[in-house]
Amino acid sequence: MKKIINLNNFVILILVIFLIKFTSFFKDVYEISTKDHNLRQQLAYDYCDYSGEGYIFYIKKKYKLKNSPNIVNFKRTPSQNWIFGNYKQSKKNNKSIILFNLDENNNQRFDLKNFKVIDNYKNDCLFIEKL
Amino acid sequence: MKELFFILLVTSSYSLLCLYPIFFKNSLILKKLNLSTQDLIILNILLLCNSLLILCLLNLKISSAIIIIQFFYVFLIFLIFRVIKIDQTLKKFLPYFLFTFLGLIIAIDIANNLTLYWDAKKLWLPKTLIFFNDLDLSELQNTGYPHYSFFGSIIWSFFWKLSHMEEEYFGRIFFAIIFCLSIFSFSRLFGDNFIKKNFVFLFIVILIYDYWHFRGTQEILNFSFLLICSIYFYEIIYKKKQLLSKLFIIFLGINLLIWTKNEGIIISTIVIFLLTIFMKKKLFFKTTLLLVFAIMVFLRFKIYNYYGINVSLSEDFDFKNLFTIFFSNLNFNNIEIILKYLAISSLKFPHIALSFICGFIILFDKKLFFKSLFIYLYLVLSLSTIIFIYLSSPQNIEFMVSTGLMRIFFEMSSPYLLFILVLFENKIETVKISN
Repeated sequence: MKKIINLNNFVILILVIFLIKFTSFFKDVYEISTKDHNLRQQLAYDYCDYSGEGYIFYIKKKYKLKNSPNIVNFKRTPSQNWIFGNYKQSKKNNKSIILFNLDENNNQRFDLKNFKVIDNYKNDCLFIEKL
Repeated sequence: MKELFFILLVTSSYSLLCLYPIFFKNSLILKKLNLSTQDLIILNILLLCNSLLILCLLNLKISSAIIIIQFFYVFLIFLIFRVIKIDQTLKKFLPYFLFTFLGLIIAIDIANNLTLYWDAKKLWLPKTLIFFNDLDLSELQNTGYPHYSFFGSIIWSFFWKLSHMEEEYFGRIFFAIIFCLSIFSFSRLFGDNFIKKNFVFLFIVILIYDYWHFRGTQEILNFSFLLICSIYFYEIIYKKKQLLSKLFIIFLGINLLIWTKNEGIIISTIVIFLLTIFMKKKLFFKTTLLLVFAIMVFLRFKIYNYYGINVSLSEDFDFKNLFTIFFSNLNFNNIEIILKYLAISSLKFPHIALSFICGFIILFDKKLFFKSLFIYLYLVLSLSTIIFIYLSSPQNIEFMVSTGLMRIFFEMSSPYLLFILVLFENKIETVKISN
């Protein structure tokens, strides 16, 4: 009978184990089974530091948004409408997400007059609605 | 847990989609065409990709393309089960288990990492969303960089929609399957020994795999398509197997290269140029090959023009003053910057460093060197192309090189792996025999 465990098979097994370790396979499996996609997206990106994508994912989930609100980002980033499955800004929407509203002197960049603030993260990332 | 189950299901389905030709092994028609099971697997996936491309270029929506392709595959499955006994097929599938398993490991990594690269969000995802939302092809003109090729976005959206899942990464899982398939096919060149082939497959995947390649950018696709072309390129030139079916496969791969990234046009020009130089065929045959390639490139621009999409090759270059800019940038300082980043890239991608070491060892064997001259020529041409591209840039060279060189170098690097194969075949195998 042919031996199943020989040096060649052993080397392949070691390589498979190495790849599993290298890609953090078990950690990934644990994360996928315990955290939903939206939460993993929030963790994959920054919350309200660099691109603000984590905050958008948070708002999308919390307010069960299906369509893209207006996204006003005061930092230079590619369009973020992809989060809602759109490739460009939808035209008619009275809700907006404002990202990085505070400048270096802590002054507000966006005029919030005529807007109701629905969600506020440190006055810097906001979810607002037109009154 | 539900998501995990769907990842497993989707990855297995995609693998099966690639591997189903293993059921066809006994078919007489295919025996007449002189194609191995491995060739059939490659031919199947390239035909699927090319059919998908053609359907989309006919302005058919992704939803309709899915119906057509699903209908075709249901018909095919019906045909397979009428012709082949199931007990045979299960045995045949066992050697391919590792391929599916590796695909799953990468799929799980993609599903948890999720981060998309800046370029993916700016260039490729908007194009993907156009196809995913069943919009008109001419809508591509309204995206950033409309002149960029878009085949990667087609397969991203196709497999995303096919999975019936909301999350975009289900489309990117197919990138991992294509990547595994290209390396799996390449590893089959290392002999008939089952263990040896799987060892090489695993080793190269470990050497190359990094989530960095799967952040939504398209280089991994071009790398994989080019590796598939390299397999047949090697068989035609090195093994002297000059079969029309192998040439056909190369051309299918080249068509995908052209439509995946604009650099693909340059890469495929190099491949075709080397093919015509090294192929032992009559001038008429070679001219026909060049003509077919020219028509493929012409069609790419003509179709862009037809749909009102910008046909420029790149907007980062001033093509009218290309040579003036090149000569003004041609100085020691700029060449040093480019060479420095090439060296860094070789270290970042260990498969390139290993290939270069093998290429260096081959240099000492005169006979082997001349036999593998086509790989050296590819190396020289690809490196010269990279240097030329960056020296012709009107922008700040250091910025351009630091942001793009690594990715271009990576996508061009798959034929370098042939150095490892040639050395392995001639040196390592010889040592084993003499012992």
